[in-house]
Amino acid sequence: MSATRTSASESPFGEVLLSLRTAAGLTQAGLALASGMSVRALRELERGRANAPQERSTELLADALGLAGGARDSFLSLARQGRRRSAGAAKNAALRSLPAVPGLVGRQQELLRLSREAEAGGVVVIAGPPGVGKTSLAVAAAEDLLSSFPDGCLALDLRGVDDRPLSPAAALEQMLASLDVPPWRMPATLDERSSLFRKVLRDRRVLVLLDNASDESQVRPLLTMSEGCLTVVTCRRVLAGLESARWVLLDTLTQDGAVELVAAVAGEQVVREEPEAVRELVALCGNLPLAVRMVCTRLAAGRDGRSVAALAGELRDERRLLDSLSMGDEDLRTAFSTSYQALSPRARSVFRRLAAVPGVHFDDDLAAVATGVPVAEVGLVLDELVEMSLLTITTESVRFQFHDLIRIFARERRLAEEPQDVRDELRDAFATHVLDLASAAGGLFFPDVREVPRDCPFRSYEEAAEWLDREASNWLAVHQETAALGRHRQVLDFADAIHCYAIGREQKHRWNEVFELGLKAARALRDRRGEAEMLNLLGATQHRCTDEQELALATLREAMAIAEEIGHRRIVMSANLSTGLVLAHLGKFAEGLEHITFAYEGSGEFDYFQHRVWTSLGLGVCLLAAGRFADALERFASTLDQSKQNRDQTNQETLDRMLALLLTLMGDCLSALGRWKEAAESYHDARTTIGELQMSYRTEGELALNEGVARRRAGEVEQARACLTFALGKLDTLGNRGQREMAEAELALLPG
Amino acid sequence: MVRVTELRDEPPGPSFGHCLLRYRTSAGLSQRELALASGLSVRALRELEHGRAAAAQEKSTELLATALGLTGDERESFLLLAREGRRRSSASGTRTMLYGLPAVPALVGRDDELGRLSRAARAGGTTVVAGPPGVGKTSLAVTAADRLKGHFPDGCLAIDLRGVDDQPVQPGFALERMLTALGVPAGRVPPGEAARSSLFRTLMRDRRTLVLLDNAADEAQVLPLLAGADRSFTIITCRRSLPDLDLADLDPVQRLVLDVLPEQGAVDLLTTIVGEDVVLADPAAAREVVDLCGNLPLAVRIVGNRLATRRHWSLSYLAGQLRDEHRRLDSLAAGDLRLRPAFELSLRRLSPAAQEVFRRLALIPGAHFSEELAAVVTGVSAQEVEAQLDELVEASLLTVTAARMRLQFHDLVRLFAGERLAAQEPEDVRDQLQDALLTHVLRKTTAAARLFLATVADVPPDSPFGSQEEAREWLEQESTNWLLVLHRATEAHRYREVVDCTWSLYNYAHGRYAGHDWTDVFELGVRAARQLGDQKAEADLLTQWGAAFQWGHGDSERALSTMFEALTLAEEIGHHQGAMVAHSALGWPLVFAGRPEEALRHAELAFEMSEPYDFFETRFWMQLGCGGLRLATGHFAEALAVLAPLLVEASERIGETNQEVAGKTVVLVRMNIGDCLAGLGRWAEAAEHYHEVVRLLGTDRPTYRSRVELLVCEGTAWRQAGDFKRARECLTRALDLCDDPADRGDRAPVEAELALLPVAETATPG
Repeated sequence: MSATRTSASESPFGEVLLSLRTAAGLTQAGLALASGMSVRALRELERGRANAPQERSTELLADALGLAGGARDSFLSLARQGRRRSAGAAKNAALRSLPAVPGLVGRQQELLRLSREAEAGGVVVIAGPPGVGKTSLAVAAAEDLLSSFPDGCLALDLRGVDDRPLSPAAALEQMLASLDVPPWRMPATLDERSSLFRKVLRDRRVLVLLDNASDESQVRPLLTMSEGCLTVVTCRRVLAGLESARWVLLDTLTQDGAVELVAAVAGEQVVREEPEAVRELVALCGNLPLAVRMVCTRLAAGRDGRSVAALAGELRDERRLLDSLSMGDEDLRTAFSTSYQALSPRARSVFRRLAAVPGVHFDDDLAAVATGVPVAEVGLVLDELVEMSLLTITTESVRFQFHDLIRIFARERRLAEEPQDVRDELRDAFATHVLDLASAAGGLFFPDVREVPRDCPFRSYEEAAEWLDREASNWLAVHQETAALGRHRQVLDFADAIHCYAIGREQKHRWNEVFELGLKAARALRDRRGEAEMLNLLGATQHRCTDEQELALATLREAMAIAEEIGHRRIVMSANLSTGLVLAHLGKFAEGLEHITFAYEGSGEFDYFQHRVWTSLGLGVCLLAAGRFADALERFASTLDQSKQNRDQTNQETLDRMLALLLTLMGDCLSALGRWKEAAESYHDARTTIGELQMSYRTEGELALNEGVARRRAGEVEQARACLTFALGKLDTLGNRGQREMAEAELALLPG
Repeated sequence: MVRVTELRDEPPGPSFGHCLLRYRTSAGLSQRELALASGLSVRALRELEHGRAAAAQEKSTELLATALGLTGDERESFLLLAREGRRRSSASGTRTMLYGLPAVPALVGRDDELGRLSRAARAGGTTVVAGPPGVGKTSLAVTAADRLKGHFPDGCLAIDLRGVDDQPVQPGFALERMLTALGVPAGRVPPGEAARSSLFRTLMRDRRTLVLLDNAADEAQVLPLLAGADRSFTIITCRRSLPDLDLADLDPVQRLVLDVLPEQGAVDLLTTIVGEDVVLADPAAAREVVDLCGNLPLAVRIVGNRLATRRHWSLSYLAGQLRDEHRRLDSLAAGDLRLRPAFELSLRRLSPAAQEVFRRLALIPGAHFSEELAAVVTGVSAQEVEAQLDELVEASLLTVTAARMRLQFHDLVRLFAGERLAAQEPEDVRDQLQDALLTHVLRKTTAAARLFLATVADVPPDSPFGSQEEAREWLEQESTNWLLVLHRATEAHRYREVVDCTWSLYNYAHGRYAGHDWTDVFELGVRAARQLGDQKAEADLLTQWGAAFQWGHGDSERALSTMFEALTLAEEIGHHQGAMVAHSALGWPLVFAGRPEEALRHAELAFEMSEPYDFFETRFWMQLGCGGLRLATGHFAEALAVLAPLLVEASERIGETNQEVAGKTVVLVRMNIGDCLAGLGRWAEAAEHYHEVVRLLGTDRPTYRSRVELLVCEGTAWRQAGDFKRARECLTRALDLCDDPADRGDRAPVEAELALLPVAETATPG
């Protein structure tokens, strides 16, 4: 605690060192290695916190920096000057009143943000969960900013997470004393101290660092509001109640930042030698700086040459992870626990119950079901958890997410504090809720459902699809949990209910897992129909999603056998169709065509969109694969007509997808036949039909590329250019490199 | 606790220093230059300008004035200021600087109020800043004090009186703190409150001090703390307006009743919290958010802080969250900053009777209400409720709307009252009061509307209204209430009353389609009639519903389908009159739908059917409809053949109906006749009819054709008739009316018509 007056940076040596190091392309760790100095010492030097080094060290530095001749001489002489000057100057001593914190890594953006905020003065709150590095950031920022505050810096630990935080009156007494208010002038009451504090700071430019605050009422009397001062508050609470504050909400590091931190603490060598293991290690730490530091000290402590991989392996066991994360007398579990204990009883209960949500994130509705709190009330409690930095908000539509380590802590609390029956009851309610909703959403995609039923919880296909995609991590996990509990009927019914959603979204979710679970459940139930159906779906998935063609054939064969045995015609037909498609894919066109023709001929007894359209489409696909383009084209065209004729037998979503698929395939046939203009039109129609819907067979960008190629071949230069430019815009993501290159090449082929 | 802080060695920023600085900078001199010119040292100048030295000696001051080139009055006041400064600093043994203002965030959108306070400060005395919780009283007072401090050389006293706490600060204790701050040694502070108060006044007599009494409880707490010195200025902030201060033997107390911010001010406040880029990204959502906060500064600050501290939130998400009324007060909490407790504190200090009235008022559905409705809904007598309402207004929980003295809740306070109602009144009491309100409003609305029926010539003796005028006023003022009451009555299955009430409104609705959404009203009537199985009423109300679609929404399609439904039903049940009215009503929507022949056929049919019915209620309208339709389809002579005798009959029978209907019928028929004559090229006659219509209208503004439009009709007719002078008169008057905010017409057609007048006419008047 002290108030200081410092002039601007007085360490030209530090600045020179920094610029020489950067010019040499060295990291601090790199220079440390080369010069034999510690990273910490280097950092102190560069920041001007330490005086210039001794002659010997300076020479080693100069060597490491590759300095020679005049540059080397002036470097050495600068260091000599620095040593002389610092011997007499005690001015910087006061800087050390800032709390000692480890150096800051991976927070450049936040530092920049803070220095921008600092220009405006006032109050900046740095909030975030325990261990995220609030104090480190605040101190680093204070050091950077100190030159703008000629009247110095006041720093105070408010001990906000202690049982007895510092009272505001005591805090003010300490700060006033540092500001040279003599004891006999110290006012008695909080209000008087508060006004005196403001008065004293009124015309000064001081940086006030209030570290580790407990809540708004503690901080409010300590705010100066005077224009020249800046107050930086760090707190686990967000302190949303503070008037006229601005906030820096501190999140965990990026993965690169966390790796950088490992390099800084444990040395670059570790990262160089075991990059994969280091990445796993920081992932296990959830990229939380304190956790990363803790494992790094374990790395350093393990003198037996234990590898990073071995340590990561040790930490992989979630139940032991928090035990492992400690350093000295500090451990993460205690840190989380103090935040947890500061919550209201209801928020504590919601916190631990939320640990049972299996997915990555959740919204108000799911939180309500998982915790048994009415949805109208749960929002407030979630807000308390967010306020306490125990929960993070992820996206605009407001989904909540635990930090990985905090979730582990929450699970511990749940196991320790929630009775078994409550846990089971809530888990079942959650599972039922999620599976019911997902089934209702998936049910809409059955071809014979013509519109959204009135009692459906979703109002539109878009809403249902959005829900299914957004909550995939939840329904997949719940499905697995339900299987693990041996609730076979539920598991099978769900796989059945959702399977039509898989069509055209093969790559989106892990469908093979869904149908494998369904299959196991059907077998446990001795449900032959279910077994046949699941085998049929699994076979199709192996063909389309996981590209296991031989396995697919075997699976489908089994499906067919059971379906024939129990006389289930539709499954027999469907499995034949899938088998045919697999065979065609494997180049056995004749054999494939035989299976599909069989399925096609038997399809008259079913609704058009339930079966016939697929077999008809299958015939075309088979012909296309066999290179019989004209025949395939004819087949697709007639399927297109038939689909349009029967349009009122299905819903718009299914129809649009089917039409887009047919138009795409027709475009392929026409391209192959050199009928470019027609091909272009066909692709174009596919593109407009599919509109905002996503189709996994071909994306909008790919269709535009197809159309562009066809347009160029048809001689429609400007239209080709427009299509290709559009395609480039849509293909502007990773994983489309091939197509992008092709689009660019095509564009280059255009005249003019 | 009391915020009084004493800093003896910190003199006030004397205005001499400021003055010197101002003169120096405006003279374009640096401190060094002025030092050279005046012979003072740079250091001395700096001390003076920073207010660290009180004022220069007489001789130095004169040198300064000369160096600054001051003459005349400026020079005199400069010298005077210096003398003042020296006098005060010579008495520095007892001079006290008191400084202890609470920290408040930057004030936004209160420039007018700050201006008023600073004017009041110049006059001295006492100003009470009153207003509801969260409106920003303390922020305003502290900011004002901070800015005005310089004018009060003897400093500033600020005390938080904790008026809404369970135990507000005792005046004796506050006085002790202030006396000590004024330099009275602790041992010499007299024991009694009265003695302290009189000592305080004595000490304040010769001083110029700014006193801020923040968050006062009531008059008794504040009175002993008033300085009574006219050179000092006291600002009191209080949720109450402290009316009894006027009774005390004091200079008149000024009041500044702080209202919520104007919309733009609230948006500006939000902008200072969340940043300009966020607001500019979605200005519509920003406006909705502040609107949902009722523009209350505290609420805006809370949502702003929420947005600033919650990752990924957008203004539109926030708006969505606030839109839910049931959760809005819950959502208005950020950290320890919460709105509901602020309201609770205000409520706790009310008498139990006023608290009861407060929560029961939440049953009133409309935005504002009269004492009459308040009495009904609270189950309290009219005299008693007045006292309770006064208490609520006094506590800033209710506001009085500027126009017509109606009472109004702030939106958020109203939500709070609703919560209290649900929590504290048993369900049967709530139902009973709600029923009483429905009965009262339905009855009164029906009675008021009845006075507008064509068959009612005079106000019946048993009507609660003394005149048609009075009834009109009631219907207008209570419009949101009776409309919402109709909805609630429907929910309460009180169908018969709903049918009676909506049916009685049909003639009042006529010509007032722009004022309300009448489709809503008649839809309720139709649904109620269906519930009752009253097909006759259903048919009648269906026709009116259709008319509301046509004339209120311009939706001819819905109008037609609804009216045809009415017609079919009326014919089915043999409701001759209902069928006739439907036929007549169908005419205009059919014309608008481009089906003129059909329109004529229906109108003629209605005309034929109208023979046996009452003139003003029915026959007149059937004939007028028929004439109007003939006119609209270009059959001018045929139209005139119906309309001319209609005018004669209406004029003869004028005493059979009431004033409004009488006026409306004559105007309508004449207007149509004018149109016919114009169509026939009988311009002079047409002009006379238009002229008569404009004259009859006086200052009334009909909805079918505006006065500007009528004057253009008349002007055109005069021009065609060759009377350019009268044409010009009409059109000039029309132009004048275009500028009148009450009429506000489109100038273009008027100017076009004026341009058609020959130029020569202006040169040869008469």
